Amino acid sequence: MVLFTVVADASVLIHLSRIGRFHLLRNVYGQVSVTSSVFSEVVEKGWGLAGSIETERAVHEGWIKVFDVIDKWKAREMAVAHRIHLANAETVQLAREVKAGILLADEEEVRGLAAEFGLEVRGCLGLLAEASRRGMISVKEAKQDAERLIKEGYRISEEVLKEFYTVLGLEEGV
Amino acid sequence: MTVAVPERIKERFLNEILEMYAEGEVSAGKAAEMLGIPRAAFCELLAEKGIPLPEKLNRSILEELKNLETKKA
Repeated sequence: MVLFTVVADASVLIHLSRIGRFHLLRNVYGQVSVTSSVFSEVVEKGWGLAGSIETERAVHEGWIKVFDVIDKWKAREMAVAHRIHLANAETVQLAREVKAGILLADEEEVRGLAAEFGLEVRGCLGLLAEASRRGMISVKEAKQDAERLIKEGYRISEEVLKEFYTVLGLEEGV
Repeated sequence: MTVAVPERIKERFLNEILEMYAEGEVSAGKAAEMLGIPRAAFCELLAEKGIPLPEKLNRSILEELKNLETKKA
């Protein structure tokens, strides 16, 4: 298995938990890093809600690592300049500091800023496609997962869903 | 001191924020903060009310998937 540095934001942890696919983070990427703000948001503030127990367990098991951003000033500067949430700027800053190969995020503020630094961004659907491609879940399961995501508060457009099916190798409308 | 906020005002405030989120005016994280609830609770609200993803986020995901498709080919 190829190991590279992957940074995740809160949205991905929460959405994957809501569809019962949190473990795919470990299966696909091996190890994942998050900022202490993300840990606090998901585990402390969100205790008992989606993602909290899984994230805490993963940290305990050692495959999710929690990091403080080294250059906090830089994160603050980006947050102000781009008028985005500090926690989101910190996630991008952590990805830069650990030279992340992939940044997992379903929050537009994170994705937009990450693109500026040439970071490769992946969301839940991208992760599901990757898992399907590697045979960790079947194409049928990936399709069901996308439908569940929509029901669970991740209501993508028809166009995006169709594109996801294409990536999975399914014909349109199947 | 606590101020009792009438239910209908709370409801209106919540709906305004959900609309701002759907229009892409505030991020999910910011919306949760404004409502004073955890990010995961905001996600539950989106599910309950069937709120669509903001257009900009849809476009960004679409682009990501298109790139994945090319990589495969």
